[in-house]
Amino acid sequence: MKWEVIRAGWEAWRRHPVTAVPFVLQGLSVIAVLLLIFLGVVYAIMPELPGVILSGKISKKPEEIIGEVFSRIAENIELISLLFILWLMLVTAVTTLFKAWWIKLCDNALECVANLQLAFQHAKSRFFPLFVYELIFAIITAVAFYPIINLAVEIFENLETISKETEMIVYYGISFLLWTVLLAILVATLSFLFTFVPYAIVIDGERTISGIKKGIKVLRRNIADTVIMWLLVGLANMAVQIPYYVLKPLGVWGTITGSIVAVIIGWVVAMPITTCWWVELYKWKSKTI
Amino acid sequence: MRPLGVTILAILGFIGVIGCFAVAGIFAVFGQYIPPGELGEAAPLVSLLMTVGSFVFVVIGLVNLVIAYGLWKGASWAWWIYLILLALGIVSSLFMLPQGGVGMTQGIIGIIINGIIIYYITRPHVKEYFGV
Repeated sequence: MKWEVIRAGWEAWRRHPVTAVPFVLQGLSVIAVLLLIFLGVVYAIMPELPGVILSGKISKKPEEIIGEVFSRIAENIELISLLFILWLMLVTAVTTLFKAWWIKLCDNALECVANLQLAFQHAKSRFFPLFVYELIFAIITAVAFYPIINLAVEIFENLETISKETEMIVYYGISFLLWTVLLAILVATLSFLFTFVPYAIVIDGERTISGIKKGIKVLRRNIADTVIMWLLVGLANMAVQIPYYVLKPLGVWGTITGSIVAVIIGWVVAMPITTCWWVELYKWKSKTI
Repeated sequence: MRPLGVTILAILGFIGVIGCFAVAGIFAVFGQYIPPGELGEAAPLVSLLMTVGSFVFVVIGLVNLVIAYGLWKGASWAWWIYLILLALGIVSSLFMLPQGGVGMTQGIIGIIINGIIIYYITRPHVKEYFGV
């Protein structure tokens, strides 16, 4: 069965390279939103920073300027948190629309009728239920992030005291590590539990709650296949990183080129193929329910 | 009938399980005896970290146990998971190659061992045993 899913995904991508378009556009949009919010933060807390960098003053007194940046961040932590929430909402909205688009496009590609415009029309009609689901996911993750942010703020505010005492470094280092591990476990568990939810919402036209129920039902009946598919997707994502590690020894330019090549291969090759795998697996398994 | 190589791989898996549980035990025991000394306030956290480490090894051990059992019984899912983990091993070994020195040697050994096992488990008689 797995060979058929793998082959179907590969064939769908090979015959319809257009499936890569939503992934590329989504990547670029997320970068644009990130830049926009970053520039917003800089403008709000330290509008003179771009001028300082462009005039080369930063190289004359780097410690002083970096110290000033840190203290401005500490002073405006509420504003930064607010902008972070805004960024989270914007990215969730953008990602949702593109996710619905690429799921439908891959679904169509598997049926040999991939059409960007038709898939986008369908994606728009599925935006709201998928957005509610993504928002639920993002809120749970953001709540789990809260202790880490709190800890980071505490470290930030007492940086001078902490850096002088080994005991404090160990204390905060381990606390940070433990919270990060817990957060990673939570996100991995949720991602696994809700593996098929977006596919149920987009492909079968389910509402948010019925989509969550159906997604979990499909997962419960196919745990072994889902674990294998996650591992395969992990393998594909790791393989995508190879150019980065190959070019890294060449220095800064090698690292930059390697990163860009890895990202492009991820958007154009790995993500469309792995999405086709998930869609094919979902369609196959949801038939029996 | 189970191929000899699969039996050996399953037994090695079971040995790995014992190893994981042993390390988990060591972590759990040492975690209870962290002297406050220089660590002061951080001592309970170091102890907690050791406990978490112990838990992680128990989880890895249990995953190994399930895979080794699946190999022993000839389950197709075990073949798939094992194959993907071996492939992941090759990719992570590839990442070690540019490091040079010991890292490079470890990477080459990893590629060779994982490659040989992948070659073996993809032979027709082994695939037939797993029904894949």
